Amino acid sequence: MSFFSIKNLNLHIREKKLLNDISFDLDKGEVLGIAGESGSGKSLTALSILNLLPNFSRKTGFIYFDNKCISDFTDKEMCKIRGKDISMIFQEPMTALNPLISINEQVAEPLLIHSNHSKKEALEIATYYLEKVELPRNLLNDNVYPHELSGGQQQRVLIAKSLVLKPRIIIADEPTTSLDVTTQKGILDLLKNLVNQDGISLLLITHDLAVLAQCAHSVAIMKSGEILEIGNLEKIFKTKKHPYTKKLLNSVNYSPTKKNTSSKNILLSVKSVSTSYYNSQSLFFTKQNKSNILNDISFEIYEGEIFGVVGESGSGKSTLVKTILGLQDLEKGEILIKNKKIKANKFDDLSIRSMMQVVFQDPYGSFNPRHRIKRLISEPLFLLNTIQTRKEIDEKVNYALEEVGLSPNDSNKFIHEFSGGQRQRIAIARALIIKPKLLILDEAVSSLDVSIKAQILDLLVELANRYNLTYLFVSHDLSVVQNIANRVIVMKSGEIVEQGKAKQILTEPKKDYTKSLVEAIPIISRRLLNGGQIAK
Amino acid sequence: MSSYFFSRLKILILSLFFASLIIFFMIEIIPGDPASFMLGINAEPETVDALRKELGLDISTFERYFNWITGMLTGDFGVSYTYRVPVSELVMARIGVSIPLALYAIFLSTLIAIPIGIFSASNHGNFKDLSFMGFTQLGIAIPNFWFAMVLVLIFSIYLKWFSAGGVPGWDKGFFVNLKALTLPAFALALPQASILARIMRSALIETLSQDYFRTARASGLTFFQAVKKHAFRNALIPVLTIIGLQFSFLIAGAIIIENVFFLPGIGRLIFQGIVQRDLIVVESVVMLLVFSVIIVNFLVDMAYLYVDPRLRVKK
Amino acid sequence: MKFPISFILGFLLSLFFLAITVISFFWVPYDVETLNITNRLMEPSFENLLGTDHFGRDIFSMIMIGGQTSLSVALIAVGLGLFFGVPLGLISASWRGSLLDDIIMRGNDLIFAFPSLVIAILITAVFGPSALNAILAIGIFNIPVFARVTRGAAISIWTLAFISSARIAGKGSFRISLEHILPNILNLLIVQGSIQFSLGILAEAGLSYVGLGVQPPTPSWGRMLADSQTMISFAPNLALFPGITIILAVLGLNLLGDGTRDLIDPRLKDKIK
Repeated sequence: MSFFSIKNLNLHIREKKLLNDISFDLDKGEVLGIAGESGSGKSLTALSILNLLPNFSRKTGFIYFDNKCISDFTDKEMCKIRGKDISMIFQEPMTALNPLISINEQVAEPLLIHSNHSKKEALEIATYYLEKVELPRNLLNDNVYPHELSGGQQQRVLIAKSLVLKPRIIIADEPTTSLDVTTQKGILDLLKNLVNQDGISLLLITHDLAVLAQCAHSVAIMKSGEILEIGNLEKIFKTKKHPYTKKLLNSVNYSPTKKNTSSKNILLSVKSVSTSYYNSQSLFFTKQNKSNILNDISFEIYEGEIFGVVGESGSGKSTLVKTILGLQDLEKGEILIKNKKIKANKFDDLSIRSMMQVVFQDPYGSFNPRHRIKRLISEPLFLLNTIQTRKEIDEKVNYALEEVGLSPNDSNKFIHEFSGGQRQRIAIARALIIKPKLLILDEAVSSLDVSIKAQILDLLVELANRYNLTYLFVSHDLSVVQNIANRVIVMKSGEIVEQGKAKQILTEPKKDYTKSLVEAIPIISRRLLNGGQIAK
Repeated sequence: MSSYFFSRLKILILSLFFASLIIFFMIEIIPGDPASFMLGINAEPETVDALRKELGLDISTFERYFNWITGMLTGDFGVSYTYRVPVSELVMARIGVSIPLALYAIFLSTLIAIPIGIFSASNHGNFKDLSFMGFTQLGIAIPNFWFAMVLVLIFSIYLKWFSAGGVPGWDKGFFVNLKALTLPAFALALPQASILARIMRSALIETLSQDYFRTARASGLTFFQAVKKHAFRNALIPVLTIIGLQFSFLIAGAIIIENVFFLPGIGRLIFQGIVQRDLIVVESVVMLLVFSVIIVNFLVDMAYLYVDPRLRVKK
Repeated sequence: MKFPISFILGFLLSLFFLAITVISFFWVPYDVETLNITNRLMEPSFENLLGTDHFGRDIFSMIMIGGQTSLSVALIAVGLGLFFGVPLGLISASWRGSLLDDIIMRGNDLIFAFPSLVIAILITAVFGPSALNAILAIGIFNIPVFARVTRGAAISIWTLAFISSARIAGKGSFRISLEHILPNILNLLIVQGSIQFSLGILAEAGLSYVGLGVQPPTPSWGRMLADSQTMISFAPNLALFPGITIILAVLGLNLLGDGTRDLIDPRLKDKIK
């Protein structure tokens, strides 16, 4: 028997069954990946192991660790295991650290609880581990607080914290999901090396099969609280026995191809645009600190093409979207659509505004929860100067709903009755109801599960082909735009690093930054997939 | 020192300036001549003229405002018309009751509220929590002066444990005065404690669902260790805000409560000032009260600086 | 729909006090303006439900009529707070970070530094005591409360993507505030309104108690308590019943506010799902 195993674990929260008969073993030094989409129960499985479940949970089954059945340990007994033998890393590093306590004290905390080290010794050990996770030297002092660190650095601190007592098992719950790709790669490499060095077993929970392909020995595929398949990673990826596994693998880094229909007519031209951010102007006082967000950005979008904008967080891509939409003032330069100037925060010429629409990232915040779908979708009709009869509006709404694969019956519902993927369809319907020339997709598929993401991408390509639409496709993820976009710009710190044909940039990047971006995209190699379609 | 400190300091000074303007001009807009208003309709014209001179009403409004402010800054609050003594003397004699009363009440309300808040939050949703929250609902609804009357009825009239009012004076020793202030302070503290306990509870419940609390539990801290080390300090930030805001209610409460217990405090002074139309006393004491509220809120802002490292911007 | 227990209890209590106050405009058990000294300080009985006071007036009748003062003062004060505070908060939120926002917010802080009692003292010093005085004092103090609540809630809604969608659909700040912001913060305003209403009742009682509010012979709950104070040792009922009235009325409104929040807060609903 393995030193750690779960047998027939079931979990109810209130009356709802959320985990169904989960069983698996973990060997010493093994990296086991648990993969699944949201709601699959993968995080609850992790929390069940440490018995840190939410209130009103009821669990049955057995968890064995070191020949002891820890599933019926009291909280006090579990406290001796948590952080010492089994430690955990969470998804959101910005919120997983206490903002009021310095980082070396937080890393030293498990030492002070589980061992007899003095505070001084504990802090020394903490500093040693902070060095080991390659935190920059200037952050190794006392009195460094979490808000002074970047997301990746914060995750390194949490890794250090999980390592200080040389645990036997580390559970990492989506450790890189909220990080940029280039940061993600560093964190994954670090984690992989450290567990390798010390022979620690790693339970890696993620929605991203490509991440698993890089680190895990074996994999469990979860859906709706059940393990569908478990076993050697290579074998599972090659055989794709379960249809759901196949679907997931096919959705990884999915980017549908679009016919190239771009013309020579310029639709949008962005001419040396710069914007700055001023520290909030307070009554009579505090000097204004100025920092550049966009710095001399220029590009043109042709009618009928899909134009990709790629950049990591802080690259200025969302500010770029705001300036194009006329929601933010420019400092220098101008933006023209069909040779008409877009004026920021001016609403006198609605005909200019009616040429563009947008789909945002967050499917939850994109709709007023108090309005019905009909009213939500018809909002952009405000831009048309003609007065519409109720019947005309209804017809347009129904047509738009059918266009995105929903039913006209949905028009009287409220937004909370729809899932994330359906909400993005509604957002697309809202954007297309006034037949805009340019549709801006601002991370429109980024918060969706992989299989849903693939469906929405297909829908977008289908609509683009049918109506010869022009998209500005903004994404942090290069792999999404690789086939869908015709041309791409890569942004960093408010500047354009590289621009060109999407295929070309992905295969032969010229600039170092683009190269590092491309290399950091987690991919499942052709070898693993037995000649699957996704590999480079 | 951080820019946070200076921005708060500027707000403090501006607030004091505008507050003084409001108070001064409120008193200024009194219809008719303040001197004849203060003396009543039957006053002799010579007496009115004399008072006008005494009040310095023969100079311009701007000059009088300037004199009032500069006088205040040097501790000269003017001379009370009815008592014929400097207002500062009157205030000094009474502040020894009002300030200890307010501090005692803050102390009691914090002492009662924080354990209840912690207890309720750690029993979130169960019977113990609900019954404590029921009590706090009741506590918020009780008018403090009525509660004071009930306390007098029980502890002074029936049980005779405390005297029904008055203070012996600080020259008679610390504890006799403390005892005399206990009922009024308790009456003041109970409604405030109820509010504070509810804020403490909801702030703690909020922090208990934060990721860093889960991190703490995952690294082996027991529930109470994690509350003590991680949740409590974070929950303190909204609690501090409320303590600051409560000070203003406490001032109002203290003025009323002093009436119930016949305490010779600032509240009594101000009511006598109104009844006797002694506007100089009213003006100066109101300014003093507003000043104390603004100062306390400034101190609360400074306390954030101690609690929250994110405000300590390094230069 | 399942109503929370606090909502039901709060609703019934509030309804009760509203009902006796409204009825008092048309009918009370006994006339409270005629003094009947022979009948003074009677214990509660079937004739006088809560006994009589030192002038022989029926306490229950006085409480009913006192409700007119207490409820109307508190209600008008809340109205004042809503009428001025909500637009200020909405303006502040839609121009957040601007000089205008700063001026509104600093003005709010400034008013907060004047406890309602101090405002009442100032107004009394100028105009003399009256019910209007109480309304103004409590109402002025309510303005920054509503302005802050409105601004805070509105700002969190302004950051949501559907507001950007509305702007992209060509709608201006005013229209967005009315169409999108206000409906989404209405719950919060109703809850805050009921809390301020209950605080208004407490504040009115305090002001009347110290003689800065409504003047005799108009009955009010706070004045009844002030009158009873000297007789508390031999006639505790005089203090007890008006006090309990205030507590139950305030409790009722607070429970109603809390219950309404539980009932309509979508965040809580999601948690239960």
